Amino acid sequence: MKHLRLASALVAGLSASAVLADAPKMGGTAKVVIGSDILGTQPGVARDSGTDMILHHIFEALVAYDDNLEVQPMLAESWEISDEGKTYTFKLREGVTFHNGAPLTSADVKWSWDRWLDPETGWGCTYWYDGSEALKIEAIETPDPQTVVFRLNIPSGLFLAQMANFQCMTAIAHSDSVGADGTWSTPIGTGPFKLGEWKKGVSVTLSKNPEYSPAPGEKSGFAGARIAYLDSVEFLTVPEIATAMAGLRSGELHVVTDINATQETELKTAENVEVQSGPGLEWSALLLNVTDPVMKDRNMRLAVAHAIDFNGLALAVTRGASGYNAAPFSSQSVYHGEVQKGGYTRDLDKVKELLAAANYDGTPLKIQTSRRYDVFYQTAVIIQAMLGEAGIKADLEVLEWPAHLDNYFNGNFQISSFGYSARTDPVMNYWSIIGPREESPAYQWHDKEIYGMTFKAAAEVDPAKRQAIFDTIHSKMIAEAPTLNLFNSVNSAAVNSALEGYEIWPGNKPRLWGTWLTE
Amino acid sequence: MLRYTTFRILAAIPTLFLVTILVFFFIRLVPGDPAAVLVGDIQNIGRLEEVRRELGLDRSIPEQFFAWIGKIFQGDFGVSIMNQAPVLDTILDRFAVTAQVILIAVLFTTLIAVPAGMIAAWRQNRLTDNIIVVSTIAAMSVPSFWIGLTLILIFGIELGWLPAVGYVSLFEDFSRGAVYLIMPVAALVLGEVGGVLRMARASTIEIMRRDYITHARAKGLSEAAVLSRHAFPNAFAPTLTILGMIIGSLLGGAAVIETVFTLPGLGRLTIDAISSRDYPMVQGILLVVAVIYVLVNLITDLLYPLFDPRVKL
Repeated sequence: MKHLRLASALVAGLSASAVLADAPKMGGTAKVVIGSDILGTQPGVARDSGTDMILHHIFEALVAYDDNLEVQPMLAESWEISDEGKTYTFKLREGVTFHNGAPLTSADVKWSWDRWLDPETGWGCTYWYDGSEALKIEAIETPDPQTVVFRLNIPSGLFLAQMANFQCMTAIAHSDSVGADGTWSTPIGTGPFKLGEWKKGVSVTLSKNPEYSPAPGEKSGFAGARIAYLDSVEFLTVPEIATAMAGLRSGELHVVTDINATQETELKTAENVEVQSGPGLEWSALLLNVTDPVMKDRNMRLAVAHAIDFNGLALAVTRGASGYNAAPFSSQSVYHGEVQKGGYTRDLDKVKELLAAANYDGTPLKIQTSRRYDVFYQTAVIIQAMLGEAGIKADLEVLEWPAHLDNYFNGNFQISSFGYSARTDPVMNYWSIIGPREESPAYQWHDKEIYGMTFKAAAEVDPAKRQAIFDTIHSKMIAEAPTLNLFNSVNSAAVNSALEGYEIWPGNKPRLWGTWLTE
Repeated sequence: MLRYTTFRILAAIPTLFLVTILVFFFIRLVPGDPAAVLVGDIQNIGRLEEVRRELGLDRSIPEQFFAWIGKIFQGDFGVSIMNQAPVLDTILDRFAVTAQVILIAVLFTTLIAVPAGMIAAWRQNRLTDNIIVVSTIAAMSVPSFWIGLTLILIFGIELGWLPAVGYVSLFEDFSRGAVYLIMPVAALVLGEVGGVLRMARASTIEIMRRDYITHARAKGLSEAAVLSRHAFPNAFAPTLTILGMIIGSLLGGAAVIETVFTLPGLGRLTIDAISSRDYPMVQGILLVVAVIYVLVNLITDLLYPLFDPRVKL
């Protein structure tokens, strides 16, 4: 993966020099495509990927991920961890104001967190902080207007990562965001853009926050200086990709994300459109149901694993943008070391031995998949062919996405070509796969000892000790093969040449601060 | 006529009741769980049961049905599972968009198809007729999404005359709104004109053979007068039925055109609601669409005697 990192560093370097050569212009409206309308304006409540992305322009948290997926200060200027990792003290950055002009104080931080942690709010991740898993926020204290103290029940190596995560934004909102009756009314944050107009089913327009006070440092991920050069950004709902492509060519649209191979080829003839791509954090996996009568045999699962050419599969599906990754967490993660590079190699003789050991009678296997996400289907088709070459007949069962997802939750499949959305810490990735079966059939691996180790990694603050735990889990996972991790997703975007400064990053969410229009 | 109208409206009640039952149970027969779609793959797997409880999906299906139907009688269609927006308000908003496009498209379809069909009938089996019939068949054979995308390619990208994406309501800004409507309306007209034209042509041919047409010609009326005064009123009645049916089906959601042209209409709402298993929204839409069908058919039937005096209501 090193060469990929090097490549992205080079790209970043090149674009940085381009930025220097070409001074940003102020003004104008950039138009960005979203596949479906946003679900609401309250962070982490009615949410999906597009909703999160837009709200990240309006709101900021105490901390944020940078391009290297490391947690950096955002509304916090600095933090200290004391009391053996149980107390986090954040100093707030001076001079930050909300969209309504009110200055940011520790009281706003407490108000926001109290709202997210209140079960009545319906925020998606209260269980991260209420003791349901292990971690519990016992108190949030505000000794002075610029200081916030979080007291935890146990030491946590995960707290900052959770605080910076993309899905359940720990947004610091102003209390005027809520009406007198306690219901959410309008999003008032500290971000570089504020909500302009939401035309339901059509578009969401954000307008520049002229009072914005940027964090120090260059723009990096969701961290660093988030300066708005544009007057406004219009996020347009365009469900049909062919229409979006047409708008991009005609110059009516500036950014379309998640371009597939066909669209990329199509856009090669368009002189005014540039396609960017790089590895992302979402990951594809082949789930092998360990409770299925055939797949419960470890030899059978390993036979499937050794029948697959993982490098070839990754190359075909991601067009070379992302390689084989046997671990569920990103190859860009600091915890993705030598051990995580170890996976399976294709060995058809070994497959024969394993099939014989499993007493496989030749009954075709069933691979479930769906087409909402193109990559699930492509992966299933290629794996079906690879298994066929290895003497394992497999049939595809192509479902509609809600049915596929429902079967995932109910454990109602033999093999499933599936994928998970972005997680930023290995523990969060493992918690998607490992857990007690009696709690939910959606957990793929029910090993109690390994499950216990994930909690140790969650509580551990020493990176070396965490690495050792992740290495053990990885080796055991390769040996047991409850799930075959395949590759990280490709982040891609087609950008009209009128928009400068737009860059994709591992977090994948479009960022319109730091971009400007040349025309 | 009042008695007839009252009778028709009352007769619609059992139909609508049947629709509610079918809609409610059929959407639940489709595999998939709205709570799962809502939760997604977020790693809190236990949240799924919580969401199911919050949405009332853990109750028995008859219980859910009576709770829903009880509220419908009070005019409460519930809220969307996906974004908590009131179902009826959302449907009416989206319906207004679809109605703008459809009614304009049907108006243009009528203005083109009826005279063209009558001319084709009048010049039956001659060159004009052949040209009209062949181009009609060509237009009917091309799928509407293809027409839509081709229009976008030509007028949006190559010529750059019309916007390829976006939507502005006519009520918000009439002239800008009209520009955004040109391509979707054109695509719909091209798709629908064939059926109406063929009906207008067939019924005119039949009328033109009647004795009263021969009589009209014999008394020295011009061909234009024969067509407009005698053939049109008699030939239009069957065409009206077809128009009614087109309006009904398109108002129920011109989903393909709405998707291609990014119009926030009822068709797109339906597709989104089905693919996220948003039960209250799907139920609400189908019920509203059924009511629209009943009303459009009723209006068509009430208009019938205006064109065909033999029909008494």
